[in-house]
Amino acid sequence: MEIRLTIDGKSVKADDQMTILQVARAKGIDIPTLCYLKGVNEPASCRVCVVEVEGMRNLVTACTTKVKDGMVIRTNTMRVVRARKTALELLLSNHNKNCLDCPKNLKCDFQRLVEKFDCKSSKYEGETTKSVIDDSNHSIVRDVSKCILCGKCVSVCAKRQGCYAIEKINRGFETKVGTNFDKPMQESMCVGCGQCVLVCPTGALSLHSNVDDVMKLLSRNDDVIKVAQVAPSVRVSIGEEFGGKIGEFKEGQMVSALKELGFDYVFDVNMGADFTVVEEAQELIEKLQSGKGLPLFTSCCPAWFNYCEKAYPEFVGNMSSSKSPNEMLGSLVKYYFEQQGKKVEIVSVMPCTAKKREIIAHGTIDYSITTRELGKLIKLKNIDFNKLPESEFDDPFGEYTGAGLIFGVTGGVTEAALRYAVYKLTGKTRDIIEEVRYSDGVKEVTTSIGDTKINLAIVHGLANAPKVLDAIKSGEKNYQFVEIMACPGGCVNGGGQSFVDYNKTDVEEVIKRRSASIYKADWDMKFKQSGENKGVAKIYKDLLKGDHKLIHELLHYTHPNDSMYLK
Amino acid sequence: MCNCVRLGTDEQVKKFEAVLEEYKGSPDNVMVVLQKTQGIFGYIPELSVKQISESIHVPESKIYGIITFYSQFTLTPKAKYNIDICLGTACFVLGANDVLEKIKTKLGVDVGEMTSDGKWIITSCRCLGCCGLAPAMTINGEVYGKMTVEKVDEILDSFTD
Repeated sequence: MEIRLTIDGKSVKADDQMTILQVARAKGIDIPTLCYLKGVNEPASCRVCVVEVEGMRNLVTACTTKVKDGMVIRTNTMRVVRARKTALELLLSNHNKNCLDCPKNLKCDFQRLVEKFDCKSSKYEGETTKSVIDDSNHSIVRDVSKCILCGKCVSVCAKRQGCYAIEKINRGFETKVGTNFDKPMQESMCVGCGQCVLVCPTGALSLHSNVDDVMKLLSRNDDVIKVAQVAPSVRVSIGEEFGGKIGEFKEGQMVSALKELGFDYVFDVNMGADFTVVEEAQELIEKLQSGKGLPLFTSCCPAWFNYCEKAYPEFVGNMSSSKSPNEMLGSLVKYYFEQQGKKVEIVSVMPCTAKKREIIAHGTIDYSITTRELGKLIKLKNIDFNKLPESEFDDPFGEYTGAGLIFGVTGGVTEAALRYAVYKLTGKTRDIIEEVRYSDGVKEVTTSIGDTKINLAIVHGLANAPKVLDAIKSGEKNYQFVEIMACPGGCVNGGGQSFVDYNKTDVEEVIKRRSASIYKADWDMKFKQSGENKGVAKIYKDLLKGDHKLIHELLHYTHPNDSMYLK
Repeated sequence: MCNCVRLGTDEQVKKFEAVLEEYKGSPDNVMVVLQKTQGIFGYIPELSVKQISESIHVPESKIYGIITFYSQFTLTPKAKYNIDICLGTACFVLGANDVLEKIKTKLGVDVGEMTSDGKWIITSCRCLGCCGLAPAMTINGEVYGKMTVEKVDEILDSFTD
């Protein structure tokens, strides 16, 4: 029902189901929040969103109070500012104030508010939580002394990712975010997706940074060839590190930047994805013909692989043996240079935090850095990203088709595999397969490749995985191919992508913009099907010489005993 | 169930398994299941948490969060005898602290610690509700009033088993 109310002296219309916060933000009025994450975490515990409502004795939290007809709200009175300041100062009283050393310095939501409200860190002095750093996990680093207990990480881990790796444990002053029995993260259900890092308002959750390692590698003046290889979705987020709009397609500048950084070659994981399509579609066709080992699960998402091993080990045998695009390209690059008697070191640039573990488990790629770390490297080297000209990826691993590019979006692997399988089995081309796109979490599609009917499931956001996995287990559903991406929206919203202010842009909007950018680039591509990638055909013929044993060795995991786990 | 580490006696395990069966698939009953588990074992064994989680469908981390939030739950085995000494105002001014020091020295453990033989644990509280008997303490709920340092040996030594 539409109602009228007054905020800061302005009369506005609103729906009576909205909260004060929603109405205010829709009207461009800034109400700060620390614990609020729409639909996921709304505990009203940080108290910094308090506002004054005429006729109410106490201040109310804007995030949970619904608007009413005729309500008179004030968001910027002395009383409101004082209350917010006190709330922040109380949080600050038990916060590790070593901001200069913090990975979140100048990017910290909490720090920004402390600055805005001129908070005094010495106002309330007392006991503080000791800094205990848990870096047992290959992707994520935790420091409880920087935590303000907003609970966003706990909610995201449970509600979006279904992992329940972390929880608020203990009571009163002892309360902290911890794992089951307070064990190291590596022993928890954590799959390393990094979604918690994206929502943390402080530096309590951060990444294992490889910035120094890559700097060292690039400053070495030896005969080792230094290669960078970049994942599909990095190009639609890297621009945001330099003030660009969310989702801008910055492939050309990104390649230039990597060359400026000093890499000898910049290769495209999109081409690795084209290889994955060829291998995985072949695997699917063989399994459909034999009827064995179905459903086939995609294995390119390392966080999903971790999850499968931890939560559904019975399905590990159904994982595709085709390596992830990153690992495939890495193996090919290494083999290519080794054939020429040259040494090579590879840095992969990924939207992903779990890849840091994948590369250690397989041992081919030397470092895996995230989009944010690449941004940092570019800044360290004083490269003016926005002024860079566009460059192209290097031969022979720089050519890609639209199919390789859309791996960065949920449904992309399926669409790419279908494009190829349709072509392979029927000789026809089917370029845009709308029905596998834009899923809410789980999308079921029945489609046909030639005469063969196949049931597909596309899952993103690990919390949705049990819906499909349990249905397969109970025999209720019969799928032939299941794509699972751990992060909601797929890699475009990976844990290693640029930070976004979710108070201004919902995660759904972020996914939409970055995905649209990828789909647009795909639309503009001349070739959209991996079989049309001449570079891929050339590598199969000239480098791999059609040698099946070699192809299997380089492009497949020695399945199913090959574990993502580090033994 | 893992056979290498035992949760408790056969009888306890049997009772525990019956509880799991009774509340199978009902996450709402997590508190009841935890209370019953503690009732059976005297504490909540770490190994039982995984089984409870699988049975009632509540993630292990959530169960651990609950156990550590409520003071009624304990993850450490309880001693046979719990000496709960009152350090409230009345008891304190009449010398409860001296009594506590004597008990600590005699048993060789601090407040909150259990003796290595699992016989004794000392805890302290703020009032037992019998200030007229100050200084007071309880052993497994039984009140010992008008305590003195001299009485400690005699009382503790009477627990011969």
